[in-house]
Amino acid sequence: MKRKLRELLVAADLDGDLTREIRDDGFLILENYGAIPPAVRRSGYYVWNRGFNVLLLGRDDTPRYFCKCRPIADANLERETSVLHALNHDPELRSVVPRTRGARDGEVQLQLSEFMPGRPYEYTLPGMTERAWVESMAQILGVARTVSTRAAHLLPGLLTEPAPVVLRVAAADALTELGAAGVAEDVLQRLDRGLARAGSVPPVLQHGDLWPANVLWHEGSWRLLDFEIFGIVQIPLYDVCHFVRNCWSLREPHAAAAATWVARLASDARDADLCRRAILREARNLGLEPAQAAGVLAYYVVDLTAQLIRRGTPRVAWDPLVREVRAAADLLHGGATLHDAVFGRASVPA
Amino acid sequence: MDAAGVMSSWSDEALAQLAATVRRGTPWRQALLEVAQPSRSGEGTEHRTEDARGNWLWLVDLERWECALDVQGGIGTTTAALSRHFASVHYLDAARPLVEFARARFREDRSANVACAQAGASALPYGPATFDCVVWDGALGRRVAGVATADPPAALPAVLAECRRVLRPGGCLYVGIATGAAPERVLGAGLILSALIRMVVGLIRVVPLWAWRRRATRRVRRFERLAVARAVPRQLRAAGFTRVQAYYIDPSFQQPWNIIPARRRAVLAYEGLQITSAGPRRWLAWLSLHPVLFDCHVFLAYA
Repeated sequence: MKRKLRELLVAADLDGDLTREIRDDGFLILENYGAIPPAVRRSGYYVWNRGFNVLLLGRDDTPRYFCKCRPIADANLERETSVLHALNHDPELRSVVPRTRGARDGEVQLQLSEFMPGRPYEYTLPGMTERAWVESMAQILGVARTVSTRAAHLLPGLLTEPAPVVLRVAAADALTELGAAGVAEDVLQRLDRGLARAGSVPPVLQHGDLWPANVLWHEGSWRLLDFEIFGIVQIPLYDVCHFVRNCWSLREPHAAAAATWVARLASDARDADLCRRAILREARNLGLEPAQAAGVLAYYVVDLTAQLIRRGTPRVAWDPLVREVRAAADLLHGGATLHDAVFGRASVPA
Repeated sequence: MDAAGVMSSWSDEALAQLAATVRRGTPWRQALLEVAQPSRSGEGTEHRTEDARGNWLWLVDLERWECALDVQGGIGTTTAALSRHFASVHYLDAARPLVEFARARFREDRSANVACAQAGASALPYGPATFDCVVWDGALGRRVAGVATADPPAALPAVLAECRRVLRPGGCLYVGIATGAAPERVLGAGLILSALIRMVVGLIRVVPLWAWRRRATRRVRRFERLAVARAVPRQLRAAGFTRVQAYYIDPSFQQPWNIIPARRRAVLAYEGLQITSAGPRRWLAWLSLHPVLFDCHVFLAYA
């Protein structure tokens, strides 16, 4: 291994035994997506670069540590390391997030975490019974809520402002982005009106990428991974919408490919009521009214689509989300409220 | 894009056209797009990931990071990666059009620390103990200039001996072998393994379903990769290398998303992380037959 990498690993060593416990050729590179040092184009523009991850194997080749290596300019890794480091101080969260430390020099930064064994929720979800799915979703969303609450105390600087967030104002830039990407003006106006009707919500730190691949089950508890964009989104229920949408898509991939999530959520489709109830239950836990929940749902599809467009991902990646945006606007046709259109059918949450 | 994946199947005319295109002043990326067949090479993906192809260098244990050599540089992807880690890099290729292309590429990229020259891998025009690192990427995927036969077992010792000669003590040789690209044998399997494979392939030929027969033959032929895993380290040691580490690249050299130590438990740890990993893969790894699971084999050998 390059001496520089070894020195950084020793600097980030969690247990003081890294050089003794990790064999010289015990490094497994995973998700090798970008060069370190990064390639510089002629213009001097550093291409978006996710670096690579390393799984550090112990003397018996069992995974011991997980290490993310990124170019020095990557702000997300720095954010994630500081968030995880802070969360590690909370005894109740030690079983939820990995112990983590970071190190950097002038060229590369790394984040060393204990390896979290466990079975990804993504594996087990498709084969679960309906009841097990509902229960597990409630548990995971409860864990995410706890993390969010504790993080607000441990990292008060993450909350941009304590005042309620006006959904219409928060979504304005994203709607402009969608307009520039070719979404019709009447669609944007309907959504703008729908967001205005939903009013404001209190700011709450969100994981930002809470989906089944970032959730593990190990020794009787749920563990959360990938906090790179934690706290960037501060709209409550955003994680819930993201999680429920992805869970449902993984359980019913054919239905997800055939129709938009928003339209299915507002329909009599199998499991639609279950998803509506999951969202409303979490809204109630967060102290939100159903109308606010509907506003967040619109905000979620608009913001997620705009994020992908901003990142420069190919059109094929964000086109399905544009269809979600259009579906949300369709539900608002003729002055209808999103609340009535989506949650009007919901049975009373348990 | 790299030498092993794309260029090995290019005709002399295509290479000449590539050189002519950059000679006219066309930017090298555009020249590649014009000459390559987009439907086959999928440049969109490859261009995004090609920069990551040099990250294996983080696994290399070197005292000095001064001078590196790419002995069969192709279109220069690996050379470009080396140029970000070493103070000075030498690019070599036996094909004149490729050298012309590489010169244009590094001139355009203003890579002042890269020098290009035309020479075959079996007679390197450098003195002994010149380099800290030597790379032979796409080894055996292309005919090696200067070796009378294209037979891989003949090319391997000739080139390895040359690589060892030009490496400084403590220097590292990288050998990348893509076994999937070769339609038949990459390296001669042992007598017993070869006989067994011939017998099973012979039995498969009895089956009337042609598509099934082709698929089954391909699967059985994969077991010849066991020979690569055994023969290359042996030849590296015979060439004078003292320490050899083997890795697999998954899924391909073009998209080197994962680099896995070629050891039973390390492969099992890797397979355990894969959502799509099927039972038979884990069984093969458990039985230490993991070389058959991967197309791309890499060897790091220290002088």
